[in-house]
Amino acid sequence: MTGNPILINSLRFIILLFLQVLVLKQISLGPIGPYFIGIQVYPLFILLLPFRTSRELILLLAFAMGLAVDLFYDSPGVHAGAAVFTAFVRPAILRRLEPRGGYTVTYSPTMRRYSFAWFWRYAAFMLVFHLLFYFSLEVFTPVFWIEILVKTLLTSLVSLIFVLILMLIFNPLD
Amino acid sequence: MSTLLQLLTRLGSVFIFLFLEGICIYLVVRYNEGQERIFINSTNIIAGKLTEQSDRFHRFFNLSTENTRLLAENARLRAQIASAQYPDQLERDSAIVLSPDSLVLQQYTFTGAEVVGNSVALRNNMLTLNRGSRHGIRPNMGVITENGVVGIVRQVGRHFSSVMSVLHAQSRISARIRGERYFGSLTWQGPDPRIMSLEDVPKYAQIAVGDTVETSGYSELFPAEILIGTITAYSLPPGESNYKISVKLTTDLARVQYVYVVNNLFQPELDSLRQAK
Repeated sequence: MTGNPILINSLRFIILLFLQVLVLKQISLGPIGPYFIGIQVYPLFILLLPFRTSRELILLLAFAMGLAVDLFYDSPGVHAGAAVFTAFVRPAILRRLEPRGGYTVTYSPTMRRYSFAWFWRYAAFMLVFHLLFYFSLEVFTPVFWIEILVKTLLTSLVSLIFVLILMLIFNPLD
Repeated sequence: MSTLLQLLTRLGSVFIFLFLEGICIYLVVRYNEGQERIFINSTNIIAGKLTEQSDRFHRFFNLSTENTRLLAENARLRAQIASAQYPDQLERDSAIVLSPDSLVLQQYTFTGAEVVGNSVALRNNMLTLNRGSRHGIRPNMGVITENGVVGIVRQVGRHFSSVMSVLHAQSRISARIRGERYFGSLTWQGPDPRIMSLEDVPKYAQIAVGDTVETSGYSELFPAEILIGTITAYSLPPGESNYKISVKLTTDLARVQYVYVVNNLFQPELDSLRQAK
């Protein structure tokens, strides 16, 4: 049951966007401030783009996704910057985690195509990079680097759990 | 050309990444209050640092003109010190008779000059200054720095003059110990350019190591109270009636760069008195 990848990813874009800005935006675990924990699952869209997507297209799609999230978060550029960065590091991380058999270009990096063990490492790397860049842009000064690291670690952990739950529920092929 | 195109295609995604990040950071800074403030603050700090550095360079390149300006300023201020002036009031019985125009007359004026030639290692050392007769320098003028005596002008050219350093066999400077009225003459036996000897101080003078030696004002070349140095050692050779005193100079003559030439405005009058004798 391989569908049209453009259709699948367009739907995923819209669903993840609305899930993020309508539902998850309301949820924040922990207090506002240095120990703030948010939940970010929209990077999953960038994670799941097919392998054959060109780097340039990934960057542009990530930019669009980030900008759309920014519209709802009233923080122009912050999510977009982080999303573009995530898209930029995606090929490097995929190369780093490449299994022995290599990737099949028509596939997407999903849990069903590869394995849970593979996928959670991939998602963890991507989310940490994404959130590190996100909180750097949000705090915007290296003076509070401890705050940046703490927020990144806590939010990555919670977001990773949410991303894995979503993947386990829907378990898409591509 | 093809290599350039290859490079562009290979780095295309990097360029797009940088371009998109540029837009994002622009948006972040432009529309987010906190980040905007941090951005403005940081750029101000960076700009401030840069301006400071360029200012430092600027000052460095202006040092020479600035020094000349300060030298002239100092010379002018030095002429206003009391020891450079001649008290023109007369005490007769208890009445003070004032001179009609002023309480004091100017006795010394100063001309700033830069040392362009120097030696300290020879037995007879000379300096060359970049000021000459064109600037009012005449032979037998004293030369000082802000912290000591340098020498006496010997030959004067139109633009340069040659100065006999105090480190010269013929140099004799009239000096006294601050606080004491006893005076002597300062000579140099060499070879250490930092140590001179003070002679002719009578053995009943009260002196101690560390005492300050200054010009006496008895020679018309230097105003009184110009610092010379401090006493580092003294001895009374058997059968002598005068101390033999070592004086450590406060001026490092090996490094002297800017000096003041002392012009005694009463010199012709003093010369004619000496002639009459």
